Amino acid sequence: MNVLILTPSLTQHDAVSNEVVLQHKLLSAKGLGVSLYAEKVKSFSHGALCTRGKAVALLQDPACLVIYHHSTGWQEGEILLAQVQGKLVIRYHGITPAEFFPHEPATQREIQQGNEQTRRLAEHHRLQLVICNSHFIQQEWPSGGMGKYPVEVLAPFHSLEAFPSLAFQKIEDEIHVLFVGRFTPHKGQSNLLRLMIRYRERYGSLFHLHLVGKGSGKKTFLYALYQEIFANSLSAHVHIHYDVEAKILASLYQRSHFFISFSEHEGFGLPLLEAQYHGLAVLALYRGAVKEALGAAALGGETLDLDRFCAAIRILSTHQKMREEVVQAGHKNFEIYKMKRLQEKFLALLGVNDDNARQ
Amino acid sequence: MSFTSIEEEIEKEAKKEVTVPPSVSEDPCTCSYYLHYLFLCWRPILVTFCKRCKS
Repeated sequence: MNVLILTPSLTQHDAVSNEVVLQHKLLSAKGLGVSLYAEKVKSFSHGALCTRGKAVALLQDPACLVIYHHSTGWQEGEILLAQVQGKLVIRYHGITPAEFFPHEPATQREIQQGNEQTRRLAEHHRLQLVICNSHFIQQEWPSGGMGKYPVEVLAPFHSLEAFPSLAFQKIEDEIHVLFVGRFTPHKGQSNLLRLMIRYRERYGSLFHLHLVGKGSGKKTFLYALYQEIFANSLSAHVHIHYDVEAKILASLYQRSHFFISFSEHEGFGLPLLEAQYHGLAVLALYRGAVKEALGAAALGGETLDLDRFCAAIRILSTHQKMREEVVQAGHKNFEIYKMKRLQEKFLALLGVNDDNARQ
Repeated sequence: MSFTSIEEEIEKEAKKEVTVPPSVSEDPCTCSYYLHYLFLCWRPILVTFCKRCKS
């Protein structure tokens, strides 16, 4: 059995690209012939990448299973999908609403195109299965498609258990807060600065804030963020880690005490799980799939009550036992998302077992 | 598991009227930060180094 995985782009440090590679690894290990096709490939190499010609040949093979990763508008992808003769599975990662990119007209156009494509994809005559990142994302799938094919939920694949193992100790006389996410307004980094200011007003001291991520476009937001940091005398306590490698990220997870997310939209929020896995107390604003991902370990709120978040940092940093309780609940939640479980569910959804894999 | 007791503690703490004069009003030195900022954002800004960095 052949499998073709289609995705608009493959790049480093990207959740969708990471999942594509992990799906390839899993299905190949099952003895399937797996090929990958991406229109844009940036700083990325993979032995299974195929040409457009080979992708078209596979699309026209009725025995080939096609997995299409849908996270944005992709015109070329839709042209390719018109040629599918076999079984089509859509992996739906969700599309961030255009309103979160008010100053990026190109991104807005891409998003609009993506939403229009979602409606057309839902009606695709070869579509057999849709796998969404979360229940939150599942609700976004056009209701017209429901009933014609299963619309299932499976959390994103991750490489957490393969994270570099480093023996860093937490510094207990300082408070280190971490956030990992793209440098865009809706990820809430500005509100994290507001939280610091409020914390200083309340307690007369500051915690360290580590912001990890990559920017998009002209870095206008990053520029504005730095202005805010200088204007509020926060520069000795805010640490921006731009596009860092896995080892640095792992060390930041290990040295930090809290992970705080003020993101306005998350299709799942893998960094939340990463934080739970690394033993951080996670506090979050419940937006998108955040509360769902955090499960029983969710501690935060539906509204951005800065006093409440300040109080949470204060209480959990002074009461070690309470923080430990939150951390343990996080570990327990992570068990649900262990890769082995996700892989088993993925194979079951695709109907891949040892018998049919080798046919 | 339930976080009821933790949430109650947080709630109590949040309601406290605590406003103290900031002990961290000024950063010790932001020079290296300015350079970092220039590197990342690639924006021309006026850089004034502190005495320590100047020397």
